[in-house]
Amino acid sequence: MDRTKRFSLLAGGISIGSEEITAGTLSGLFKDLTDGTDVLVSNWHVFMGEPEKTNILQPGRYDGGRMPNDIVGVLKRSAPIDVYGKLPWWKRILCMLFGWLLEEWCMPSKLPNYLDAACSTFQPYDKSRTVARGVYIDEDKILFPKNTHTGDGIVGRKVWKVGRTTEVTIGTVIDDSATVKVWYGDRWIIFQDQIVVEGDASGGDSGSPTFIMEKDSPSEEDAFVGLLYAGGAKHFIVCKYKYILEKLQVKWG
Amino acid sequence: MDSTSNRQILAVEVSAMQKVREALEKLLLEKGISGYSIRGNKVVIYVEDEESASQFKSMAFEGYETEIKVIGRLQML
Repeated sequence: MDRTKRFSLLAGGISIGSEEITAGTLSGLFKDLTDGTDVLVSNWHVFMGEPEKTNILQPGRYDGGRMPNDIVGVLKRSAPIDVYGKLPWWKRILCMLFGWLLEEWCMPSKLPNYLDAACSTFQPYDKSRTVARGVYIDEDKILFPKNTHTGDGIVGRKVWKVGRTTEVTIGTVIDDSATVKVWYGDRWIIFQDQIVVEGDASGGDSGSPTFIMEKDSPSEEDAFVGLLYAGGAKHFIVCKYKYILEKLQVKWG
Repeated sequence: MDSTSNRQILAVEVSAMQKVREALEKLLLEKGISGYSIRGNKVVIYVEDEESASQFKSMAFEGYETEIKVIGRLQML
C-alpha cells in the first residue's frame, strides 16, 4: 500500500507533516478533552511549528504535499517538551554540526520529558476530504481497535505499529519503564518512563500508532498503547498513552 | 523484626536505589549510552553498539544485577 499518497479519507498510518518538516505518520483521530472537538495527532517533531499558525499537510512535504491544496489542519498544541528557544542560536548551530560528539553540552534541560506528541485541528482546504477513526491496515481496510492501555506492565507483550515507511510491523516489548536519550538533529533529549520495543521502524514512521496485540495478527480487540517517535537498530521507542491523556489531553477514538 | 527495623531497612534500600539512579543519570550523558532501566534488582543499560557494550560491560551497582543491551543510537524517526 502506498501510504505516501494523498488520501481523500484520512486515517492513522499515512504520511503527514507540518509545513516545516519532511514527513511523518498520522497517528489518528483523537478527541480533544479540552473542548470536545476531533483532532489529528502525531509527534511534536512531525507537527512542529507555531500553534494556530503552522499548517499541517497530508501527504507531508517530502511526499509531495503542497500548500494550500493539501492542508488538512492547523497545529493546535503540543505536549510540554524542551523547546528550541532554550538554546541560543550559536549553540544550536554548533550542536547541529557537532552535537553527536558533544553529548552533555547539547542537552538543554534536566526537566523530565515523557511525551513527543502534538495535535492539530481538522480543517481541510479541500472540503471533500474526510477523516475516519482507526488506522489503515491496507488500501481498502481501516481497522479501529477501540480499547486503550496505559502502557504500564507490558514487558514481554507483542505489539504492532503502522507507519508511513515500514507499514505494519510486529515487535516485542522489552522494557516499559526505560529512560532514553534521543538525538533530535541538533540536540539530545532525555525521556523517562518509555516503552522499548524490539521491532522494525524507519525514518518517516514517527507518529505510528502502536497497539498491544491480542491475537496472531492486528485486530479490533487490540488496545492502543502509545506513539512511536524514535528508534535505533531493530528497536523503537513508544511514549505511553497515559501521558498522551494527561499531558496532551486527547483521547483515543 | 519490629516496625522500626523494617522502616530502617526500607530507608537504606531507598537510599541505595537513589544512589544507583543518580549514577545512571550521570552515565546517560556518556557517549555510547542510549538509556537505562531499573527493574527490581536488575539494572539494564542500553548502548549504541558492540563497542560501547564492551566499554561498559564492567559496570556494576552494589546489590543489583547488571545487563548491557545493544539497541542502537536512538534518533527521531
